[in-house]
Amino acid sequence: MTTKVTLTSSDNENFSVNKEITKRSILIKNMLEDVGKSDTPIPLPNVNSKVLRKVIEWCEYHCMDPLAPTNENTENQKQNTDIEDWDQKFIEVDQETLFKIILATNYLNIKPLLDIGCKTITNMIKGKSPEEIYKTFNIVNNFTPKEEAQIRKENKWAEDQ
Amino acid sequence: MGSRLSSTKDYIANIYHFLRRRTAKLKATSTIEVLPIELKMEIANYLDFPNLYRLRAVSKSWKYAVGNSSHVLDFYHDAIKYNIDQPLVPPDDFVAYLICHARRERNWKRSVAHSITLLPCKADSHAVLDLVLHSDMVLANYGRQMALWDLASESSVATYRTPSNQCLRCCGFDWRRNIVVAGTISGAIEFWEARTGVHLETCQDEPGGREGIVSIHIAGDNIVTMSDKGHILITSIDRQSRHCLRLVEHNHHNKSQSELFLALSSAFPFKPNQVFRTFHLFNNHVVSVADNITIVPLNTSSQQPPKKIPLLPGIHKVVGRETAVLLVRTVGLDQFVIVHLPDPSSPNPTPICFEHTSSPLTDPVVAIHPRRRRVVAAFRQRSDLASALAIWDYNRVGGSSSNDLRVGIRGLDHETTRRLSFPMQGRIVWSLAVNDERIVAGMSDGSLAVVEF
Repeated sequence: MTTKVTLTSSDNENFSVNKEITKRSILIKNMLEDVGKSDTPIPLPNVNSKVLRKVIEWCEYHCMDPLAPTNENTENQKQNTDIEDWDQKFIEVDQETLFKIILATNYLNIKPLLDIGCKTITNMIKGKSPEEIYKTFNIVNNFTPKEEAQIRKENKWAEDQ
Repeated sequence: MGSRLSSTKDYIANIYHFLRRRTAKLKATSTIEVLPIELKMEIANYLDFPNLYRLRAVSKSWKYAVGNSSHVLDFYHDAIKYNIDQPLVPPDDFVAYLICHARRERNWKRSVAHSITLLPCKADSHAVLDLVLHSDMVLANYGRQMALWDLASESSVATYRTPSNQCLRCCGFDWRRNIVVAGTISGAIEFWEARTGVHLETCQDEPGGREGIVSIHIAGDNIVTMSDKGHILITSIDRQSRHCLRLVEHNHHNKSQSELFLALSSAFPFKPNQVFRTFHLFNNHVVSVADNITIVPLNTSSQQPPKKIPLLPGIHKVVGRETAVLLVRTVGLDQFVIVHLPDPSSPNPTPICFEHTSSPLTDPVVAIHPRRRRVVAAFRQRSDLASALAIWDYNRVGGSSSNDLRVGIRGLDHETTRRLSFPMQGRIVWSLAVNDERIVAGMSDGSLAVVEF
């Protein structure tokens, strides 16, 4: 028998989800443990419906994964930014959604999905010059001219062949 | 007019940067800048160094994230742990140090000198017999006088002369204590003030008197010296309470080694017990190397007997030393041994392991830099009166466990030798010192060649 939990997004949309699936989120898991049996919907004021739908989609696909992955190989995996095929397709969204998914998973505390998000951004940064990073993420540098000159000088040593 | 123009220019530039930061903040609502700093640090953890360098030039928050990512912090804590010579900077700026360091390592690997400086002679054409290098300071012993150089400013700090005009064999300095010491050929210890060069006193205690000092070291509050007869003398550094604390005697020449020595001495003009006794300080123990390795506790109250570890037959001389590692050369045979010292305070010290390797060079001047696993040698090519530097990296061989610290200079052959062009015509290298940043060579005409990477 599966019990359902209702999640309410920031724009007041209700999502009825399997309890086991919501336990992917450490935040919700702890909440359910604290509250005990209750039918009241869980409000998630930091997550809108579009993002929450995506996150639930991911959790449903990964519901069979072991809950707590072993952390033994973390040292080896540190530099590994490979993403599984399904996840790769899942995360192919516009940047704004990507950042919102990352923020939402950070809030909901879903470590594997957060890792996927961070890896995706890492892959977007890899091999790019600062100028290309500005362009990719549409950001502006906020260094003072003096700081910028200093950093350029230091980096020139690194790039200098 | 000009200054007004430039101040207007500054004003406009300031406004521009203010507006740019302002717009950046406004735009940031829907860009990557919405991510909190801990997520940025998380992202930085996935990147390798070339990517980190570029990422840190993106914005202030990314610079902070890179500087505080676990990747960089690991390096930072390693640096603290191994007490690198560099003055330590906050982690945020530590990346700049790492960049500089990476450049230096690359130059080392390619044997490309960033600069070669020749510091002029301080005495009347006396060769530099001995060098003590610590961070940016180098003390050069010219035999009858010494000079301390600040390599950062390429200027000499002070010159040290003896009133007795005796020949100085070995030297040492402690910048924090403002003291320079030297051991003379007649067994006296000379003291100077490091910053001014003022001679403080000559100390000649009777117990070790009249035996030339071959090795000197400042260890905490004590000065440890070794005479050419193998006596180790520990003298308090404090002038008021100066006294000889302890005299360790160990003279153990067995017959076979004496015979070997005689055979060698016909080929090499060395006198018995003259130059081969040399010692090293490690964990408050004196490690002396002559015909074997002897480890003696420095602590006067300790009743621990000296530990002896045999070396292969031959006359050995320490040519390079650093904490827990010695580079020992067998005189005449041109064999090198890298010795990893066990922790002397442990009840059952792990055996010292070493590997012999023959050198492709004849009669080189050698220095070792164990933290980088690097050996630097200078050739004395008397035939054409020129010098060249060779650089090797050695590797640990065998198991990785601490019980199996077998070390060998595997790369010590002609194929893997990296040579550094060293345009010092008419001079030969007499002494050599190496640290992370540079090689310092004392030349036959009294000049110092500083090779920076």
